[in-house]
Amino acid sequence: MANDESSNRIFDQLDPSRRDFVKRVLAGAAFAAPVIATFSIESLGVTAAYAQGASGSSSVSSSAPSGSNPGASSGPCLQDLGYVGPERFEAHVADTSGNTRVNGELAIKIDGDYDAARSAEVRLDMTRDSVVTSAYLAINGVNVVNLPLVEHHEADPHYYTGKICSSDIMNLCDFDALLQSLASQLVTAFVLGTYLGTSFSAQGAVVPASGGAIIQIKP
Amino acid sequence: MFPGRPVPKAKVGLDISASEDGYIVFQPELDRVHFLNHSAVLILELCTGKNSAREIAELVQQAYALPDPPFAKVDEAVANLKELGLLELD
Repeated sequence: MANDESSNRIFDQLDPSRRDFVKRVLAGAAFAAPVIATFSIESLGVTAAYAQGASGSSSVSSSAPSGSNPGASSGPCLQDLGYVGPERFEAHVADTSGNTRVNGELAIKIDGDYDAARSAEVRLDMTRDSVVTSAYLAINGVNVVNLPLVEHHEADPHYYTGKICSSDIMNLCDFDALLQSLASQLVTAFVLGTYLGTSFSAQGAVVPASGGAIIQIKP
Repeated sequence: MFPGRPVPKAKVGLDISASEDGYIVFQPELDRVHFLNHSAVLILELCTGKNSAREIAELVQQAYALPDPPFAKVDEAVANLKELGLLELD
């Protein structure tokens, strides 16, 4: 967060009733591209009854599509029995809008102590000169997690890194449900952005990375 | 602020709920709900009707101590907010 003088200039403009909340949300947060993920209330209404991790968004901009519920949350959340499956996943994303030929590679690696791991490292390498404004994972067209990516300009091609954790999960029971959906190849990666001023919308199926280890995460 | 420059303004009476890491904005009349992350929250809150998008980008730069104002990202976010009906029309 900025120094006190700058902070005051900013916060003095905010609605007093929400000023403290905005301060709290921003405290210690690094800048991430703005995200506005949109869903139909109807679709969330069905999901919300059993979604445990719907906590909003946390990454890069633009609107995620609304639609039917993800297959992984098409019923009440059953007891979490942990996760047994691949440690790494990958997706080749390519622009399907017809505007550009932007493409890239998304890599996801479950990290941490496997007894309690509930986070994953994400890396996205995209075509040179492309600027990513939004990236998320979706099941059946429904956003289940925004990817909070930070851009690294010094590299060629541009690459982005980020971390997703339990609190980032939307429309799924929990983080393990995301892992199981990834392992079952139900997840599609979406990357939106611009290439030299032209917008692109790249997507690709997320699959287990070849040669990756099989891990076990306890409930 | 320069005369004639569009100044985005958040719609009055938005149904906003705070979540752990952002806002949840309900639009029951459109059967929609929006999740905004922290930077989108700040941009929406700075859409006071007094700041241009450029000024908002400069404030965001200060808020996050960025080396440069994120003009493109703020422009896009403002456009998205407007398209979604969260901002007053010009």
